[in-house]
Amino acid sequence: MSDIFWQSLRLFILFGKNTVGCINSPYITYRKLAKEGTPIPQTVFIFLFCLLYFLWATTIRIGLRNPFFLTIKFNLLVLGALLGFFLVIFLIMLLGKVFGGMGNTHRVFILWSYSLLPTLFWFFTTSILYILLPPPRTLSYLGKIYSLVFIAFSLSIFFWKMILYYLTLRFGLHFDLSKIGVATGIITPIILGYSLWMYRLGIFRVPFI
Amino acid sequence: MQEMTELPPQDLGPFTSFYKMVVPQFKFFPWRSASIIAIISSMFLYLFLGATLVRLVSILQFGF
Repeated sequence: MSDIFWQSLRLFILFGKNTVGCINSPYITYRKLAKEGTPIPQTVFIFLFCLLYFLWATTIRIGLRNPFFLTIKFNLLVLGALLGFFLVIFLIMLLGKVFGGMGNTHRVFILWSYSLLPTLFWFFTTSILYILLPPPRTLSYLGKIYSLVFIAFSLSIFFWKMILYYLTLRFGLHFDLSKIGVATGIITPIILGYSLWMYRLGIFRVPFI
Repeated sequence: MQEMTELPPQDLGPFTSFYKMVVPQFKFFPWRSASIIAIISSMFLYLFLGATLVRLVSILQFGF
């Protein structure tokens, strides 16, 4: 029991260090994560935070009065997110095979898991802002300023996500920039299709990728 | 070190020097560059989209 505790604590500290690294120096952190022997179990904390977010988002949307709809919505969010996560990993591995990349599933899994950090951060912040300053925004002076700040914040997170996506392909598959460009051209329409499908099913308005 | 040598060097022909100038900005503390680009982009978006940007933010706020 004590061993499990210390092992979990060690992994959590490792996860914390890598999370700070992904914020401050993503290049060095991803290069380190891509090395053989990086333990996969540290990524469990990312998925736990995802589960925590889905629980939080479902509670805000549905409320605690209806446990039946709460459970259904929570399960749909988890299934939709898992589908998107493994779809991207499958596409990355497939493109790695097609373009002669040197990737392995272990490395791509860890790198892509850490790329969920910007996603989690955006979704958590947006859900908190939804409570503090509920939409819709108005065309007033304050409404416009808020909109500008929110768009700038969202774009910053999007750039962070793109950096981590680029590094996943760079260190996960050892792709150069031209191959990353071609791979992105193939992945993007598939992700757009997935996003539209999730939207039509009423699971995600903004895809959790 | 071994991992670094395994990576193919980026060769973009005439754009290689430009690439090598831009990429370090995003390697270490990318927030500085990303925030500046995001703020400038959001201002341009407001100039182009006007009130539509405010509507877009409302949609995004419902998107979590």
